[in-house]
Amino acid sequence: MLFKLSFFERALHPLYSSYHAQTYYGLALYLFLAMALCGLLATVAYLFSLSSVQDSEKRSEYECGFEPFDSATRLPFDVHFYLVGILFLVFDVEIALLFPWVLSLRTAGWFGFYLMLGFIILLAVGFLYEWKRGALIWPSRQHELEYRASAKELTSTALFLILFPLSTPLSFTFAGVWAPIVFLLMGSLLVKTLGTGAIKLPLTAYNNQRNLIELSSVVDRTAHLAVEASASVKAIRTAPLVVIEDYISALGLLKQKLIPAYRLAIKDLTSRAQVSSLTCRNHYFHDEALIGAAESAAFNNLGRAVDEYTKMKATYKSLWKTVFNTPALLETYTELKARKCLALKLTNRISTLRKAASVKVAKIRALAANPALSAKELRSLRLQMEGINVAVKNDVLAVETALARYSVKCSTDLQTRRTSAHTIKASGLSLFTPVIVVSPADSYFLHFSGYLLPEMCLTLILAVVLTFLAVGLGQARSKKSLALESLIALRCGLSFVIGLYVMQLFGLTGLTLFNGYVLSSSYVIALKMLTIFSGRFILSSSESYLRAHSRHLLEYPITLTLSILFMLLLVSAGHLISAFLALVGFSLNLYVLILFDATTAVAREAGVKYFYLSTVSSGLMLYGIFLIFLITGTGHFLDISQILATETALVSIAEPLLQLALTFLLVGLFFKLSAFPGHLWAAEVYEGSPDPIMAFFMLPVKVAVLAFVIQLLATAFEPAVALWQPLLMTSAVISLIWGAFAALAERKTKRFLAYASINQIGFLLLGVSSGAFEGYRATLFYLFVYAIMNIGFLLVFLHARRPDGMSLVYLTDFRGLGQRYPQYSWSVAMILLSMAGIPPLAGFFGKYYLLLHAQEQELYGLVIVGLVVSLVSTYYYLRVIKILWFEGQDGMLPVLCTITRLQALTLRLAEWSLWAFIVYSGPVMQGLDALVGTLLVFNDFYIIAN
Amino acid sequence: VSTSLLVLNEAPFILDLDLTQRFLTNCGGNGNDSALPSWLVFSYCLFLGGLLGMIFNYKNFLVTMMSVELMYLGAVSSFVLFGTVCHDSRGSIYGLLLLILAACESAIGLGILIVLHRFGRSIDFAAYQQLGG
Repeated sequence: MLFKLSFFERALHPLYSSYHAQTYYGLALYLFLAMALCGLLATVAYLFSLSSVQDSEKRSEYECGFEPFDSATRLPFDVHFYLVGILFLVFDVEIALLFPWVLSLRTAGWFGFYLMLGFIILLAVGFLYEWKRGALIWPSRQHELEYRASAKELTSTALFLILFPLSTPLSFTFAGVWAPIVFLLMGSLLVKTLGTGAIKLPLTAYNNQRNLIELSSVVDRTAHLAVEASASVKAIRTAPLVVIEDYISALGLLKQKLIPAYRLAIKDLTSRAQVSSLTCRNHYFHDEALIGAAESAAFNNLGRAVDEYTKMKATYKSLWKTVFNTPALLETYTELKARKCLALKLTNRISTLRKAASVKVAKIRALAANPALSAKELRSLRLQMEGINVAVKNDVLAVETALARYSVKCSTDLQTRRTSAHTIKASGLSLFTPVIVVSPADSYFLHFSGYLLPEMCLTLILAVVLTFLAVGLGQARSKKSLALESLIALRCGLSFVIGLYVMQLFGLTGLTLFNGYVLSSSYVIALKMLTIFSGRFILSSSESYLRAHSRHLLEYPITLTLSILFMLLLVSAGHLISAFLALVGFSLNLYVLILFDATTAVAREAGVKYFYLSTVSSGLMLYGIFLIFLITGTGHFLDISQILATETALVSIAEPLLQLALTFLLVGLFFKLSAFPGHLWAAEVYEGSPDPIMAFFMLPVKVAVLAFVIQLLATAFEPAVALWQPLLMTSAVISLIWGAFAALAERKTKRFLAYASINQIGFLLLGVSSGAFEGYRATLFYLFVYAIMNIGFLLVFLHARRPDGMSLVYLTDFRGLGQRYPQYSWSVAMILLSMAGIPPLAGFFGKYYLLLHAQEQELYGLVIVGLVVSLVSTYYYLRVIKILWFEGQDGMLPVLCTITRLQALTLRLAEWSLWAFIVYSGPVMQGLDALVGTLLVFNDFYIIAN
Repeated sequence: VSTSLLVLNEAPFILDLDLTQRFLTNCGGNGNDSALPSWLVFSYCLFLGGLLGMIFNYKNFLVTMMSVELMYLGAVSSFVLFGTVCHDSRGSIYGLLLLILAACESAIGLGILIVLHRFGRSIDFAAYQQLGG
């Protein structure tokens, strides 16, 4: 990988000499590839289309539909739509053009700034022109003809708006000699485009030769500046390396000087001491004065050696001083800390050596000063001296080895520094490093084939189904049968994917994939399974809707499955940006799904309202994500939690901002959950959207988003629990009360379901708000129970029809279902009782665990609210049961259509599982313990794996 | 642990700096003055403008869509400017990703607009207030 990177680096370096450009060459490469691909495709299309179209009749306008302009008889739709579309595209293109300017404004200087200003002014002028010509006024049908006349001019204006801004940044990109040529090319293109003379262009200023020359010189100067800047940046980067090299060479010098001198001194000392002792032995009875002189000479030599040693130490010290006073090195203080420690050790060692040597010397001097020395004593003196000799030799050896080890360490440090510099450069190219596994199972194979296999399979299945749809359409088959076939295929595909998840579920504690952008753990996989299971339920229940609907709904199954795929990605998101992409991804699909019934006014209203509120909430979330990114410098959940836990100074400074960010983020997510601040849309959108889509809102959307909320709060914002707890509690309490009391008075089924689900979401958020193990466990348990209960109830609701073919719009339409279908109605009644929280059923235990946990946390207010709300909800659920069983049959009995045996079994299983919880409570709670355990231990696991 | 994480996952530029220090330098200097930097204020104003535009416009769907674009522009430009100020290429990359999302959203919004006009004959919100609530 690294070799490849350096190849790219070398290949692209001369093209993009400035420092910023270096960090962007990954993008540049992608842009180049994209453009090359586009060019290739365009060329191929051009070649082939020329050879195939030869008939002049084929080219005539009638073959391509109606004329877009000047055709008063029939117009499919208004040309203003195209104009507004172009306006929007211009808006996006404009942003894309502002990016390079933002980056190069500092280097481009005032000239660049004025150029940019001109660009913006031109855009504004174009915009005002459009405004004046009435492109923004939506015309009524009567006035359409008048506006149509000016449509040509408007189109040319739009073209101008697109083409002109393109020319300026392009000339910047091809800096230097190319600038005038590109400019002229673009200019000629513009003139050609606008040759009709619809509007006069302020092009003269830019066609001026002098301006062009000035521009090119400025560009040259900018490039020169950029080269200089990059050189200085490189110097700053390499400065620590230089210092380290200096430092190593200094140490080498020191070693060269210090060791031989020390060794020489010791050698000298020992030889002289030996000589003196020899002299002592030889001339013991002859000349005492001679002995004394020899002794003193020996000790003088030793003293000189010690002096030399101190001097060496002083130079050593000064060297250290120079090394550590270098400011560039101070920046890499983490490395230097270790070195300082080592250096301190060495100096300590040397000073103790010196001390020991001086002590010994003093001792010998004292001994030798005694005039009355016997031969025996002299011998012992000699032995002592030999001992000292050995000790000093050992010390020298120790210092030498320490120095050697030190130098080795320095060189390895240098090596690591270089490799880390390389890594740094490489991480700038993170586009090219798609996978960094942080897990014990470190292999690409496991990555792609194991952990993301289900999602990849689902994508492949979608692609295959799309292909078959295209082939079927080519064979002119009926759209309805194609839609039903694709529904069956996708249903089987989803079952297959559930099987893959079952295989994954066991033996996986937690790991991060794709550089931490995707997480995988037992928790994630279990909730993905719940999401996909409920999604599959919706898909298979949509069949009767598809059959009954008069319009063809060819794209319906595909869009639904695509939305489920995005939800799976949301559940396993490990980074705020990937989570946001997944969230908006499935919302985009939902906009389309709501509007499949666009012919009815209610569906249009629901679509508009959902689009409006969903985009507001997405925008809020996005800004919250940015604020978190600003504070912590990262979007990875695990890094965020680590930073929030360890960087106390940062958290205390940025606390208000963090609070704001969390509020934005959670409000956006509450909207998707239809909890308190974003609950108002639910009833209307549920009522307006098609029945299966309403069920889709109730089941997979809520499961996936709540799974994500728990993952986010338990992983990323676990240390900041005090900041988000009040938000969640407020939302939970108000959702509980609002949902319960609004459902009380509701007569329409879908609105009733909407309010009931708001109430249930309130219960779920109550558990999350504690931020503790038991709270998460109770929430997960209630989430599973919620899914089971709603699958059961919705299965009957989606298949029941009034005698006139409508679905059960009012709650009173359930009347008589009990007499006609007693088995199914019994299950529905049990499910409703479970929703109300009647004791032996699982719904009771769900609420019980949640309220018990709140009581353990001494939140008595919450407990009281929960109990009251539960009582109120009992009333309205019992009301439905009363309608179902005990209200008279007046000949308008509802009909259940096309319930398959498997669906009937699903309903029975849902009911039985609600009953059976009391028997299987042990294993169920153990399984939930394991899930929540992986959720909470994930953090630690990640740290250990590093 | 944290340094190795930074080396692997994060941009090179924050490697040697203290996190708190970096945050303070991003948000207006040395911590003594609490003024936010102009780029942050600018992008926040863009975002807020879009948001207020959405909240206070209950007349026309087209204007709503423009406000949505403005709101996304605020958020995206804050990412991009963060990237520029901190010499962090991730900011721009995220900006591009989010730009794609914004384009998708406006494309679908235009689709909804056309549906409204074709079937409902109006793009004013006043025409879509049947469902009480």
